[in-house]
Amino acid sequence: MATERNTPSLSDLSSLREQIERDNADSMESLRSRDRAIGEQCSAEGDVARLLFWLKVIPEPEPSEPQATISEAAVAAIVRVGALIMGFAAMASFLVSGGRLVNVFAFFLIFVVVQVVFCLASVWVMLRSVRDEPPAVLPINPIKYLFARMVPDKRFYRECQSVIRILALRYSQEMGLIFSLGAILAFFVLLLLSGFGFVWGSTFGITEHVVKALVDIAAAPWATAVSSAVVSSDIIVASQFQQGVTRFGNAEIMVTRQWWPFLIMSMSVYALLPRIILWWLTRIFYRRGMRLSLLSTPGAERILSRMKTPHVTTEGESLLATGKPASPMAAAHDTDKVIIDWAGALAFCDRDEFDDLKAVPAGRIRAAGTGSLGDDLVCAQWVTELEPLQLLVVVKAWEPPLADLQDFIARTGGVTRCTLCLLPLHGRAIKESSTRDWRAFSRELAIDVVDVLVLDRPVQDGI
Amino acid sequence: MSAPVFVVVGRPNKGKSSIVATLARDPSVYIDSKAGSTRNTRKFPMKIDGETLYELVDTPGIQRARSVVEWLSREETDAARRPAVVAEFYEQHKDDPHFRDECLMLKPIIEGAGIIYVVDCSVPFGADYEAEMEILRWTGQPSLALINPIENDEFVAEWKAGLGQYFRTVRVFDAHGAEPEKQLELLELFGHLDQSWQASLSHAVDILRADRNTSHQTVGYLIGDLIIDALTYQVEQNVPDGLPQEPVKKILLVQYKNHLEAREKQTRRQIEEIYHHKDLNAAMERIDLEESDLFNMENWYFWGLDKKQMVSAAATVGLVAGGSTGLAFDALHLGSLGLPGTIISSLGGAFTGATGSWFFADRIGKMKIKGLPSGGKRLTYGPTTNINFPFVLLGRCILYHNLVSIRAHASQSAIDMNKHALDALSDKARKSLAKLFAVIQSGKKPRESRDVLCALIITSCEAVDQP
Repeated sequence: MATERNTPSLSDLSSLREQIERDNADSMESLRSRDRAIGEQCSAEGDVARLLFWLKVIPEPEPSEPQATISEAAVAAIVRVGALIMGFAAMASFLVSGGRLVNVFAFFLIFVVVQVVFCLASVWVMLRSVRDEPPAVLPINPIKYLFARMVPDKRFYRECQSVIRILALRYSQEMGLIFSLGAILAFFVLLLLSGFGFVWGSTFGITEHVVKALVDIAAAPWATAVSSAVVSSDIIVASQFQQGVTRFGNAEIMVTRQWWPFLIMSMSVYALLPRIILWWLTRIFYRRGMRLSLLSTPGAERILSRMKTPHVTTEGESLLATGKPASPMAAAHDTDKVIIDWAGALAFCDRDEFDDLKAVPAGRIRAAGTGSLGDDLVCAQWVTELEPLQLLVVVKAWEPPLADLQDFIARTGGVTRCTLCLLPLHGRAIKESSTRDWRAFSRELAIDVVDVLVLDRPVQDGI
Repeated sequence: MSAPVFVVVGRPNKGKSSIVATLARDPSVYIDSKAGSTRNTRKFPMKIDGETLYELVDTPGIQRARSVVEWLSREETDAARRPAVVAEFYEQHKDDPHFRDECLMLKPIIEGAGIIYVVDCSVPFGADYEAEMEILRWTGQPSLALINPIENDEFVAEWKAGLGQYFRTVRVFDAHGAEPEKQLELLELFGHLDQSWQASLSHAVDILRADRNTSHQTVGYLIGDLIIDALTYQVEQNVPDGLPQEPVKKILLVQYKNHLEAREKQTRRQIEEIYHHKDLNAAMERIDLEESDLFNMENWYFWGLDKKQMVSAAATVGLVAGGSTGLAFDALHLGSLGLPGTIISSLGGAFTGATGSWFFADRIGKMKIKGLPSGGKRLTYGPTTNINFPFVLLGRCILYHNLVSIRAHASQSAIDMNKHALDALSDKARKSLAKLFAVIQSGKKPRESRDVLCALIITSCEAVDQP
């Protein structure tokens, strides 16, 4: 499954932003797993296409209430028609308002010079925007307020303000282009339908030679290719207007109408053509900028990384089996004290250190827990035969209690009281958790009275 | 070929689960100081896109090693049959509750798992351990011994000597303090137990290394975005003339601080999750923000414009109005005057509008339209002007990353945030960072400044793995 689109739109940026915001609340593990799965489905080449695919696949949240939306294309279509009408109306009203005579200077200023100035300003804004240094928006620019109302946080499009500026430029070039086309259309229509002429005049003492020079400079780009669109000296002389001196009859007006090819060419070359070039450039820069903005949206790199990086899991699976630990067992009964040295615990101490142990004669001490089970059995039978009043089992407190010992005690008979003597390592105290473990262990022994005795030594180094 | 399996065995409370938790990067492993807290086997497969590269198996501790050895010795006829005898033991006792823990341990070994035998070198070696090592030797499976210094390494020498009798490979591995690189080295070592496992383990280690690099980068961007957010965040509220400002100020300040705190907490949680930790709950002190570094108050006019905007608007209105009048004047003369009317009246209109609105701003602000005040004060908190703030925040985040990223998953100690990650920063680096923060606050070149900041943070995050 591959996405066909490769250029994101403004709504893609917005969707991406919103989805990243939502993702921030989710666990990283679920995001890793989700995005890797999407990444594996995605056959698109390139990061932009991958992100667009991701956006397509991620389900959008249901809007809390129905939203009336109008598409960018619909708005653009309305504005295009408006620009055409405005261009037509501007030219028509300009041509009609002057009666039968139209001032060439005013015409040139409004429909050529102003357009060129706008184009130059657009070039400056475009260059700044392409370099990611968009100029500040005029405080009264209505688009600024419109935009401020559209986004929840004015930092929302911080990373894509350049591309938004280029988008605005693209539309403005389009509108300017359509405006000029509308104006040209009106020019031709009125040229055919009404009999106006073009004149020039000035109180600043501008001579026909200066005007000729200016016109020649303006016509230089097409002078050789379209020589009919160059104004001759005769026409310039014939169309000079002097208040109260010049009288224009129909014949004179017909001569002055010969300005029109020059004026049309001026509009085409200085107003239309730059707009077309700028529009084409902004389209290119918009696509490039949009891709860049999509990729530089904070969080986009994390999505791409998750899509590309294998989903690595090392955590454990759910528990495989359940069951209770083997329950310990035992029996007991009788007279004197007997010591069992379990697993060589007494090797780690001097018995005389502990009053509870030193009173027991050496003959009543046996080792168990290290030899064979047969040895343990013999030892258990010895305990049974002695029928001690108290069985003292000396254990290593640093080791955990094992069922092995449980089995041994279970094999002894006639013991009614058993004491587990916890022997600490030299220089260390017995940990509370160890005592707790041994106490728990003692409760599992099936002897009438079982207690746990901590064999205290002077502590040198607490644990 | 099935993925290699490694079964972690040993006596209860010797840190088997800690080793598994650390190697499997799984803090959910139940680790308790209570002996025998692991009651069942649990598998920890290392999966890449669903494909298992290796598997760790945590087991309950061995309880009746000598009984097992005795049974095995009884049944043995020759050394070659030992693995088969172990299998027979399992078959005969798998439903026997007496040998439940031993059977749970033996099952994966009989099925071909490698053995990781774990002991604690903070307590002495004892002959009573030999029975369990003997069982493992009888299984005939590749094995290694890990010496886990739970509290210290006081008896490491005697353990090495004792284990050396039963295992060809013996390593010390601190489950609670092992650096990530040490963990990977250990995994690589597992691969050396059997030739056929090597490729799988090497591949797994490569993937884990790459995964770690990706994690550093992701965290770099997360922290970078937090810093940018903290540097540019602002809350504001317009208060019309005549209404009290103090309650609004308090609400805005709380809103501002809460936002920063929530964002930092969110980033910390994400950092934890990236490194597979959960709920570390490190204490988070609020950064001491002076109100004077945050608060700003300015006038506003016409329900929203600041003074600059109002002056611009008035100048534009003047320009258009004056220009229209002048244009009409020039039109009457067919432009023969050279449009001086348009130019002069445009400039005059713009100048009048701008200067008038500038000098009479206060009066304009106090105007009431249909009883509604058209002006008032705009109260703003943020962005902060405190030059230390981004350094403190950045330092805390990098420190948190450093602590979390190297933290073993078995560790249950508290995170100590009483360190400073940016102490080593030179004056030159500090100055260039301060410049970068200023650029971010100005909003100039947002993409470039973000890239530079994130690259710096990523470098700092990656440094945690440098020796």
